[in-house]
Amino acid sequence: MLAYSLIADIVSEQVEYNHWFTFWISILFIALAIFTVLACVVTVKGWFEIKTMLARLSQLAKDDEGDDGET
Amino acid sequence: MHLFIADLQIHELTHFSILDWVIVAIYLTISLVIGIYVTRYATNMDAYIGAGRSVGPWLGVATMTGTEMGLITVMYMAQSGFTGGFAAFHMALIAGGATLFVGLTGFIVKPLRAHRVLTIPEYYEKRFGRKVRIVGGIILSAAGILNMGLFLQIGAKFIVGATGLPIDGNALIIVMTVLLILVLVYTVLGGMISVIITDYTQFVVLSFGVIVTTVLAIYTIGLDSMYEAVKTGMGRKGFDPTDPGGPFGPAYVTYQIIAAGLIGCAVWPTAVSRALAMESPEAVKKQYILSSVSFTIRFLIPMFWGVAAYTFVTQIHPEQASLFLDNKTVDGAGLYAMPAFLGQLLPIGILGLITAAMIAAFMSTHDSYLLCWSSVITQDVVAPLCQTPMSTTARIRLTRVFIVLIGIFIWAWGLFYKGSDRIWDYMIITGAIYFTGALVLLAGGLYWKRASRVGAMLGLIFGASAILGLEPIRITLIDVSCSILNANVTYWHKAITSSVVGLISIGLTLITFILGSFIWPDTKHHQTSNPVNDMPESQSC
Repeated sequence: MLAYSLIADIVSEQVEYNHWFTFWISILFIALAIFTVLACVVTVKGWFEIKTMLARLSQLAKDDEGDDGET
Repeated sequence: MHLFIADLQIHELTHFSILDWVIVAIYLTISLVIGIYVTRYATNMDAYIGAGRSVGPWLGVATMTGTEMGLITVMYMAQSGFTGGFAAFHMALIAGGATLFVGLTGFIVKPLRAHRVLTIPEYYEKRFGRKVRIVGGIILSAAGILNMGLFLQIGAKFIVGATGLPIDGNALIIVMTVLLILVLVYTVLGGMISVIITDYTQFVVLSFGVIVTTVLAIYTIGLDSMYEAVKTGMGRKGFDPTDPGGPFGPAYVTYQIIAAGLIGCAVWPTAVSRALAMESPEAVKKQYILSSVSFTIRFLIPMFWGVAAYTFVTQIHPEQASLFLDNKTVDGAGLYAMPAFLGQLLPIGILGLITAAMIAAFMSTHDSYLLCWSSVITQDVVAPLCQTPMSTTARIRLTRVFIVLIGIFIWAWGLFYKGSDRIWDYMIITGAIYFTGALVLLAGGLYWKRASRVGAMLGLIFGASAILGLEPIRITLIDVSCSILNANVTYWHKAITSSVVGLISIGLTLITFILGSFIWPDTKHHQTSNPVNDMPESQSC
C-alpha cells in the first residue's frame, strides 16, 4: 500500500514527502528490529562456532606437527 | 582557513571524559591480547589466510559485518545522510537487496567457494591461466591499496573529533600511528584467525553500540523534527533519490546497484575472502542471506545519524549550523558533523563505548584489508613469478612483510595526501579500477563456457578504464573534447558524471570480454589445477 502510494505520487508528480518519509523510516525500523535479533543470535552462536573453529585448527596444527615428525 | 577555524570550534563541542578513555583502553588491550593468543593456531598458509576454512555461518556473519562496517563507511555514509537527507537511504536498500539476492542464488560466491581457491586471482589462473592471474593480482592489489589509502586519515579524524583531542597539534599523527601499530601487531601475528576472532568481539561491541546510539538519537531528536528539518532544508531532493536536481539522480542510483550492491558483497575481495573461508558452499549462501541485514544496517544507520546530526545543527542548535553548513566548509566540515553530534548526544560512558565500537570498526576493516592485499601480492604476484615454488613458511613471512609495508604506505599516504574531500568518489573510482574487470571475469568465467584467456585479459585492461571517472581526469578530458568539438562545457560536466563514466566502463569491459572470447577462443578448455599452491612445501623459492 505504501509502495503503491509512492508510485502513484511519483507518477502524478505530486510527491507528498511524508510518504517518502514513512517509507524510509519503515525500512529503518524493520532493519533495526531484525538486526537487533540477529546481533543477539550471532553473539551466542558465534561464540560456540569460535570454540569449534579453534578445536579444528588445534587438530590441524597437531596433524601438521605429526607430518613434520614423520618426514 | 575556514575549515581550520571550524575544526577548532568543533573539537570543543564534545564532552569525552576519563571514564570514556578507560573504556577505550580496556577494549584495545583485550583486542591485542586475543590477537596474540591465537597466534599458535596459524601453522600453515591455509590457516593463516583462510582460517583453515573452518568458519561457521554465524561467525561468518560477525566477521563480514565487522569488516564491511568500517569507520570509513560510517563516516562517508553519515556525510551522505547529512548532505543528502533520507534520499541517501536508497544505497542501504540496494546493498541489502543485492546481498540477499547473492545469498539466495549463490551468484558468484558459491561456485567460487566450490573451487577451493584462497584469492580471486587464484581463480583467474584456474580458469584463464597464469598471466591473467598475475595481471589481475597486480591490478587488484594496486587498486585495493590505493582504495584504502585514506582510511587511516579519515578514521583518525573521527577519533580526534569525537574525543576532543586538539586538532591543530600532532594528535592526528599520534592516533594514526598508535592504531596502525595495534592493527599490524595482531594481523601480522595471527592472520585470518585473529582477524575473525577480533572481528567477532568487534561485532558484539559495534552492534549493541549502534542500536543504543540510534535509539538515543530517535528519543532525543525526534522523527518529526528530522522530517521538518529535511523538508525545510532540502525539499524533494532530501527524500527522492531519483530527483535530477539532487545529489544522486538516476545514473547514480543505477551505478550504485552495481557498485554498492553486487560489487560490495560478491566481488570486493575482502567480502569474498570471508566467503572463501567458510566451511562449505552452502554455508556461504546462509552467510549472505543473514548478512543482507548487516549490509543494509551498515549504510542505513550512519546515514540516519547524519540526518540526525543535520537536524541537531539546524533545528536544535542552529548556532552550530555555520560550522558545518557554510558553503566554503560544507564538504570537509560535513565529515565532522556526525562525530561532533555524537560527542554532544551521548552521555559519559556510552560515548566511550561508541568510540570503542568505532575504533573496532576502524581496526576490523584495516586488519582484513591489510591481510587481503598482502596475501594477494604474495599468492598471486610474487609466488607465480618465482621460478621454484615457495614454501609455506616463506609465504607467511612474505605476507607479513607486505602487511607492514602496506601499513607504512597508508600511514604516509594518509598523512601527506591532500586530495578532494569527496571520499566516496575517490573510493568508488579506485575500487572500480579493479572491480569493473573482476565482475566481468568472475561472472563470465563461472557462468560462460566460451570465455577465453584473451577475452579475460582484455576485460582486465579495459576494466582499468574506470580511472577516467576520477574528477581531475574526467574534467580535463571533457574540457579538451569540448574545446575541439566546440561543445557546451557546462552541460557536459553535468551530463558525464563519474557514475556515467563507471557505467560506460562496465559496458566497454563487457563488450571487449565477449568480443575477445569470440574472436580469440581458447584452443582447449583451461580448467587446470592450481600448480603453485599444490607444490610440495619442501621446495622453497
